[in-house]
Amino acid sequence: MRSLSRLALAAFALSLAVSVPFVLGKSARRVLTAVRHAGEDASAARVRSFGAPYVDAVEAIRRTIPPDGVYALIDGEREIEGSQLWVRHDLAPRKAVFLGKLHEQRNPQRIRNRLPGRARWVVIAYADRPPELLGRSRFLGDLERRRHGR
Amino acid sequence: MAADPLASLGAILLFAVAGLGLTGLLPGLLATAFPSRLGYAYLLGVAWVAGLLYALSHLFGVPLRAPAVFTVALIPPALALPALLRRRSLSSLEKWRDRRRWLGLAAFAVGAAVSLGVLADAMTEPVRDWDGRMTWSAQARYVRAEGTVDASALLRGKWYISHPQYPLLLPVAQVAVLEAFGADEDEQPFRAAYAAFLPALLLVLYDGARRWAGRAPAALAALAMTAVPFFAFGGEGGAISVYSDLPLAGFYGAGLVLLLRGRPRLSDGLAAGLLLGAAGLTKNEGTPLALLALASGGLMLGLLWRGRSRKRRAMKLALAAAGVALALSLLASWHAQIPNRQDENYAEFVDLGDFWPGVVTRIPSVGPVMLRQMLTWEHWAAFWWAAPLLLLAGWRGWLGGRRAVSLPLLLALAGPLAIAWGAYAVHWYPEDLARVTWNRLLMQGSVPLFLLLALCLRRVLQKASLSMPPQKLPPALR
Repeated sequence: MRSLSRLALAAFALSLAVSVPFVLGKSARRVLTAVRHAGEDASAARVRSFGAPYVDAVEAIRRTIPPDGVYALIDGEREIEGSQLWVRHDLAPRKAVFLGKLHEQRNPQRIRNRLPGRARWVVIAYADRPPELLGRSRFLGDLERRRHGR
Repeated sequence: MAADPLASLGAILLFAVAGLGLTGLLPGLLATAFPSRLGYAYLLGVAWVAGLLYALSHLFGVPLRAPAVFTVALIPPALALPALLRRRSLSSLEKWRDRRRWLGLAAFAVGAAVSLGVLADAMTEPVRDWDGRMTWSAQARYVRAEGTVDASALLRGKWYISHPQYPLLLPVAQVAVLEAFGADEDEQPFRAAYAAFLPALLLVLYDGARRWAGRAPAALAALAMTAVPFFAFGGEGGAISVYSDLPLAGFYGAGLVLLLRGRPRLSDGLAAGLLLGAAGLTKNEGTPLALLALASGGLMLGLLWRGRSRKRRAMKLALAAAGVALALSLLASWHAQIPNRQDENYAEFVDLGDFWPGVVTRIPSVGPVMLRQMLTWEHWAAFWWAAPLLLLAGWRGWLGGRRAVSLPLLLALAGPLAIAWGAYAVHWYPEDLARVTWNRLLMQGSVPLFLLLALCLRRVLQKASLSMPPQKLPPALR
């Protein structure tokens, strides 16, 4: 019993001996990063994290759609990447109607029926490039042309 | 930086000051050593401020703006001021300092250093995690814009919202911070409020472990929790993220410790009710966990039935249950008006019969995924390499006089594990679900887990003949 207890204690002490420096190292790196970016404003922090093209595109969309406005949101990716979730978050409190994935959009009439009257804009979200803002009629027109192969 | 450092510290102070006021009104907590009291105070502060704002907004249409936030936050300290002034200043802190030992100090120092890194991250980086942007922070933006928890984006089914029926306590806490400090839409001082749940959790764990296992095992258990990287730096669930799992772990764990604290003070029951009610308002899992914590309290009551103070223990439990009942009634009333969409909605498609045979047949496919998560260095470092051996060597520490504590703790730990097992038994992609939720569910049950570990540590230290004096006090009465 005593040897099992000593073995367990030794294993526990060893696990602390290797884990504590690891988390302290992680902590130290974050403190150093914070010192390096001290004085930076929220906008600069966003550019550093998400890239200037993305942040600029979101800013432009925010300027176009008023905070109490509504828009149609489309996921431009074929796989589940979450891009429409990030764009929706950044554009909130603007309200979104989600139309699904871009490659599934085939029937302009059905989309027209799903779009609320107030939704004058369509935002297409991508994983590796900035979101795209289109006017409602331009988006429906593009879709119509694509449908007829023009 | 993603947030003004002053506003970030202000976010923590907003809840801590409200909570310290509450602890001044609750004799059981006022008598708790100051560092541990600070942990309870922070959790109580969030529960009080965000919970009351949630209720005022939904039931009475009070706008979620700065005047309401400051009024709600300042009521407890204003009421507690006479009691705090009567009390000799920080006497419990002095008591704590008198008794300090190097192991406790080391655990405290490591906890503080890791918490500092988490806070630094919170002030430097914008929210980048999945659930934070998909659910919690997005909901907070809609709620803040309309100044109500009954925001039209949630209430009208045509708007694209993920998990619109998820409880809103944390988004309301975010809104409280943003409104209190007049933050712009991209400023995120609320991240510091999420970060502060880590030190609060550690302090609560230390308090419970010190009571039932002693100072050295408590320090070691707190050190072990600090050394789990996922708790602090897990990008999808840890303190650097905007997930609700760590807050839930804090509310659940603190409510549980207060319910199981030996001396049956009614004020502990009130505080436990507030914390467990907050657990129910934090996440969907919070409701079963809050009920399980009450069941754990009931189990302790049964085990100590022959004791002198059973009537008082029963009243303490009843007060906690009343707090949970009030919170769940609020949640039900708020839920009722929100059409669900973009949600797994287990309740709608799962029957009791669906769990069979998945609970057994899925073990071979899900078990390895869970094990892999636990053995991933980035998540748990070396914890799970040592913990099983410690549990094997020390499980007898749960027996004897400590049975009245260890059995309720085992029951409380079973909650998150049962939720995981049940979800993996019926989900259509159980391996994927286990990959993204298992660490978080373990974290939700972390306070009972590490308290049980502390009891094992006590036993092992005794058996290894390392300076553990026999504890004469009945442990359930500490």
